[in-house]
Amino acid sequence: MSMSMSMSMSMNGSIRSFAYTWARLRVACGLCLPLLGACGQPAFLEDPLHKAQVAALGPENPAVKIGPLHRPGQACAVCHRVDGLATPYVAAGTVYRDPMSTVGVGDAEVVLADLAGNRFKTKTNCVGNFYVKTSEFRPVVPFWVTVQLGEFPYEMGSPIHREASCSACHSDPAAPDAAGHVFVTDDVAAIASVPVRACGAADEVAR
Amino acid sequence: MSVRGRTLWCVLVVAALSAPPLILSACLGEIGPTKADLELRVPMRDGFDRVADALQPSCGTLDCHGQAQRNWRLFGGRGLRLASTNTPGEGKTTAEEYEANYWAVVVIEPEILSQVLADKGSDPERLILIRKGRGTTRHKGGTLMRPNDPLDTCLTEWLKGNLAADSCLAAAKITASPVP
Repeated sequence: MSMSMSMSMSMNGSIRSFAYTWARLRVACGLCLPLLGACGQPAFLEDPLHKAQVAALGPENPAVKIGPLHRPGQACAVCHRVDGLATPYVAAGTVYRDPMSTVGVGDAEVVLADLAGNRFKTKTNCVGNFYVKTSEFRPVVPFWVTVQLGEFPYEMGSPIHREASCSACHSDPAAPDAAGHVFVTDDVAAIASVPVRACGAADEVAR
Repeated sequence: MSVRGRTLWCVLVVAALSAPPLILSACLGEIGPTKADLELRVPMRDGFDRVADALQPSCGTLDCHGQAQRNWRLFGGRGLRLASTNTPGEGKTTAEEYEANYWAVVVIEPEILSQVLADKGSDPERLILIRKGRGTTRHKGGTLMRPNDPLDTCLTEWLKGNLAADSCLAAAKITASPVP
């Protein structure tokens, strides 16, 4: 008798506790969900440092649809990260024709090779952007990246341990802590021969 | 005064005169560290350039301790540069960068490093440098070396006062595995 009563009280307590929690969650969600912040995250979850990084990216170019062609040269993984709301990337960036200009090159082959011998290949689109989703490739770190466009190879001097945005290290201008943007050739005589193509509908389609 | 009395008197005088210096020296030994205690041992500088080269690809890349924002920073030809006129990937690691890296390693935990060196490199995991590298202490960069692998051997042998040149070279040339 006393046992069943105790169970009943306990169940009543659990139900009351659940109902109270649920009510609080509904209030919290109702208040906070409309306040979406940077990268579509609820504002109350935002890290102020991350918020500053997002702010530093600036607004979207209204002439470019959000997708594979947007924000060339920017730090992709500021939003495209595991705890963000955009598709998380293992590596993403923009490949340019030469070190002086910011002319993006399409169809450059980007190869990721990890410590365990796994490889993943992808290609740049018409603005030079490429990305590798975490669902496509999970490298055993560190991993190395090479870029090849026809006869022009670009090999990194050091491996990547954890940064997914190429531009985090390859920012412009080149400085003691910045390697400058990724390019396919610095041979002035060869620059004109690097193919640059216009964008097509296929470039706008995400994998 | 009898002979016995004079002898006793002399013993007392000698004891009275010699006691203060003896007590003082004994107390000094108890209270203050000796000069030898104050001198911290540092690892050998000769050959450290090889060790720094070994650390570069695993620790000193631009996305790890080759970042200017990090507390513990390593410099190198393929990472963060010390001179404002140099850029990553341009030229080799300079003498100044090797020197900066040596002191960067030494000053992490100078007292513990000194003890490890005094013990001829035994129990190197007393050093956070080794624990972080082995991943036995939380390390955002994960586990980068294991006992007896090239980087670990390069570092631990250096702490013993040896230079494992082959291991250091192998760690410096870490590359992706060939396509299977």
